[in-house]
Amino acid sequence: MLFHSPEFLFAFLPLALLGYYLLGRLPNKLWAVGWLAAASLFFYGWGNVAFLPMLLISLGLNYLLGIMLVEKPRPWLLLAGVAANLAAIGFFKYAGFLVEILNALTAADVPVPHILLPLAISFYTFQQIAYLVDCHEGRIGRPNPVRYAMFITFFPQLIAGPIVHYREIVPQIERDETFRIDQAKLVLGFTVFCFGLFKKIGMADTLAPLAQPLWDLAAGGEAAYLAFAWRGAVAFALQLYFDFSGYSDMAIGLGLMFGILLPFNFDSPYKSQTIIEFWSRWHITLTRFLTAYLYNPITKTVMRRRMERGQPVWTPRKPQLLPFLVMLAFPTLVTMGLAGVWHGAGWQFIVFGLLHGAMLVANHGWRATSAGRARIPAPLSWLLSPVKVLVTFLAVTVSFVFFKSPTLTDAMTVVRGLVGMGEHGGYLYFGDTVVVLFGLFIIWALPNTQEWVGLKAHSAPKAPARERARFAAFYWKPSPMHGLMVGAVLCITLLRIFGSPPAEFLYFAF
Amino acid sequence: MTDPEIYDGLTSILRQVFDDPELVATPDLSAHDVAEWDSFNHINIVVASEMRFGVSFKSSELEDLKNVGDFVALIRDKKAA
Repeated sequence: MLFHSPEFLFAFLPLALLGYYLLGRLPNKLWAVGWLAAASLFFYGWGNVAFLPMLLISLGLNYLLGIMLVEKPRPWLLLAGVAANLAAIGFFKYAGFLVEILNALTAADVPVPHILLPLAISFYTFQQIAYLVDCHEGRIGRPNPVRYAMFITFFPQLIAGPIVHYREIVPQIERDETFRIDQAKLVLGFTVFCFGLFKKIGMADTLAPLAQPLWDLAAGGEAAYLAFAWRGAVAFALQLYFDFSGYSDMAIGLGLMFGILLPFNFDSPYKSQTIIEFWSRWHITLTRFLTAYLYNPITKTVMRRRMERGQPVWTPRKPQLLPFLVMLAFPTLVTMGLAGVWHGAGWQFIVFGLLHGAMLVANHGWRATSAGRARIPAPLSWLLSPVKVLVTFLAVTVSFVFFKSPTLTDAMTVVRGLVGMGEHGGYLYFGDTVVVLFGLFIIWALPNTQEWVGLKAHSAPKAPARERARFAAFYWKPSPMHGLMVGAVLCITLLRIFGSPPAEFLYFAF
Repeated sequence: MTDPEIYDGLTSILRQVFDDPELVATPDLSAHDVAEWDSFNHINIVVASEMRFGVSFKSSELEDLKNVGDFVALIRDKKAA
């Protein structure tokens, strides 16, 4: 079931809310939690019941493993649990790709299996791996099975994240206040949901047809002319952002309507001045997962070994090549390469990940050696900020070409167009270009959803307090004026939904 | 181990990692205050602290740290246990 489908908006969501808050009046709150878990399973099975058994098996096995680890932490058991989870994704997601590689390498002719990828498997598997680690490290007590089921299946985040930790969700559903109707949270949640809906329907779905022709050309082996290629590639970068961050906004909004706060997944990533910053603002919950469970352990192991042997350790002010390569470049490339593969089986995803890995390494190297260079004086460095933002955005735009392309050959054809080596493509309509410019205006000039509604309290290094004061009337608060505005946005979006069949979210494929 | 001893130890680790002789570990100091304090240097500090104080941190314990004060409390609890 899609968040922007009529059956979700007008049947599932109202009924789920009604049941939740009615059952929430009972003294035992587990009824409401169970209702939410059951509703979530219904939501998941609606599109294809065949995926349900896999989710239930994964849920049951990980729950039992968690209990065993809570009772007695055993490293081999944790390892076996993580391996089993990875094997499940590996089978469904990569078996076909691996057979293709095997065939190419050995000239064998093993038939490539076509395995249907269970919806959301990458998301719920990662979430449960993090949970098993938490159990092993003694961070959580014996979990209640109903709460556990709800924590994994909670429909707002089940399909495409945010990837949440046990400690972020379960304490919330252990408190009685969560189940009391809170008008402020309902209104706020609905507002955030509406904006997510607008990002998806109003922006992403409008940008999609502007990006697609570039890839249609590439499929026929034709590279586009420069302006056509760049407009298409930028349209896709915008589409992907509005699509995925719109989904995340809807998830967070829905969570709030049930009184549950989910972590933010995006923080205006295209305002980043560097690639390092970009990854701290794009798909934040995936970045933190990969950092905690992949990058940190690798780096720690390498660093510890070097320290124990008395070998030089990389520090930013005393740059040395070998420690840099071993301690920084290696873990970064491994992590980002795997992050690429996480998105899908195919060489284009590996290139996407490694490209980002290489850019991150370059960024770290530049930063590390910058101590010796003269600092740029203040007025010039202000002028430089927009340039940095633009360069970062363009680099990310090029990397997303690999992300979108069905094959590496297609991606390279699009890239040929981006460097001015193509001549195909149609006329660029002014109206279409205005849509792209409007998208750029939103990502660069406007605050993001959580800033606009004033939700960004948790970890904001650069709180826009001054801006808020200056444009106080613009920022959201529960008032008739803002209600009308949100209502208008919702109206436009709903009219579009009923005008055409809903398109799927891009991130559903992972 | 007392808190001042831990702060002294961290001060010398921070100075070494960031090569800045003026850095002082204070309870409120956090990654936002030092420009080069990124994910990599964070691990650098963690590993150096593990070796200096003879403790070992779990990945999840490090995720919730907000500032040096939290880190000192974590080390103190580990030494006491």
